[in-house]
Amino acid sequence: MHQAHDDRRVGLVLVGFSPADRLAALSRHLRWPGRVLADPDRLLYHRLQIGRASWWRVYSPATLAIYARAVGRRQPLAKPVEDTRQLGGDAITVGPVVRRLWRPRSPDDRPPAHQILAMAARLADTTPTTEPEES
Amino acid sequence: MPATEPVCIDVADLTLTDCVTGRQAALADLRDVNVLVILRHRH
Repeated sequence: MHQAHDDRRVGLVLVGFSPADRLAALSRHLRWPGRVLADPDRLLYHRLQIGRASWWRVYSPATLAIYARAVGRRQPLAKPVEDTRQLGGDAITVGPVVRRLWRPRSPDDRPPAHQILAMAARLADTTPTTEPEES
Repeated sequence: MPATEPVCIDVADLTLTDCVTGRQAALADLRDVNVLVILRHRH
């Protein structure tokens, strides 16, 4: 997403339900240019009614094969501390109001970044920019 | 691919945590247009 982002009128916000320190590490790894917010109680997820994947979608044969190979190599498996079935999503806000929402049906069911950014640009075209407050 | 849904969902009352500062981040403070990328669980 952030590699395709070049519109200064549109901000990028990463939201996850992992602990804040893990998300901070992920954002450094990704070189994420925007804000990174932790939502461990999944308040935003619930508000946007972002669902959970079925067991067979999360633990597909390909995923199970990855785990089987790791066991075969005697690699330690990290015990999940999160809801492994939680899906993600994409949204566009204007101010604090969500105006466009993409809710996936499966873990990999996400729209292409350019489609989201194009929609955000169209909304920015019709949204007056907030002037910074004087201090 | 999921279809986009035009919605009107106010999230101004929600407060999350800024992962860099560790401080609370009120979504009421969101200004202008933002794309929210909401992560799923990662194996």
